[in-house]
Amino acid sequence: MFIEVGCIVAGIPLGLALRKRPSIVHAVDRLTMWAIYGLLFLLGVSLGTNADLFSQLGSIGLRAAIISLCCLMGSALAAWALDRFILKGKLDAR
Amino acid sequence: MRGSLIILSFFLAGCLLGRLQVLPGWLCNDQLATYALYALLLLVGMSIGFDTRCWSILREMHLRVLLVPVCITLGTFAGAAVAALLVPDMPLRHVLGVGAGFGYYSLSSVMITKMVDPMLGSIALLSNIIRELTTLLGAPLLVRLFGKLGPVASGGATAMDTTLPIIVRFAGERYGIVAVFSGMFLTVAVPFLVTFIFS
Repeated sequence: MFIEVGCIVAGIPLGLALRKRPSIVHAVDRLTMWAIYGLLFLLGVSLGTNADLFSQLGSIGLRAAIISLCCLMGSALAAWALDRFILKGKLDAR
Repeated sequence: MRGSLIILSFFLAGCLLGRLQVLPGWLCNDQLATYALYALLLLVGMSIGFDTRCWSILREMHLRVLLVPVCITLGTFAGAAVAALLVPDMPLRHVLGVGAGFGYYSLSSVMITKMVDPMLGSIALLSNIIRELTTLLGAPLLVRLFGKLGPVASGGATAMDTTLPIIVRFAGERYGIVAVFSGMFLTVAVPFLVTFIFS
């Protein structure tokens, strides 16, 4: 956990210092994309090589859908309540 | 939309090639994924540093704009708690962790795969992709049901990029600014919340 958070925290000042260099910003964007593609490919591989997991794909999808829709409704309801009872349209005011 | 399709095809290609067992062993090595994740997190940190729009929005709209992502976080966790009742074989902590992706499927699924297992990582991937797609397809309905903050909330972390155009279209420019702020806040929160939930 400390390494994960440490990596992010180390990146922030680096990003702040280099933010005016478009070539670096661009390179970081592309590298991020490819790191994500690679890691998700590997996630697919670990799912595919594990026959036990692979056979559960249907239930994985169903659970994903249930969790996703519950979270979505919960957050939208909370936002509605925030606007209705606390902000009362103040975000629209300049 | 195109982005999530590309991501999904990399994931599916991995599934397929893994299933066919045509890949060399070093690809399945755990160490490789671990270091790739660290590199990714460093890059994510740098992107956070690159973007200073957050501060000017905060200055312009006052502190109250902070309430938006905070409420979205609380609402998401409340929704996850309900979801945990519907999938009784999953511990609450796992469901909360999946919910804490706020639509940021790439980072959350990769982190959860490393910190828990590929099964939960895959649930996180699909769940958060569904959240993004539902926002893209349902934005007009969300505005009607929940007001203009509706799509901002359902978009979660994606409200700053992939779902921003549709939010601006159906909730207006003003809420586009709120969406950028809320999306950035949640994007930064994802890695911290996921690590916190699973440690």
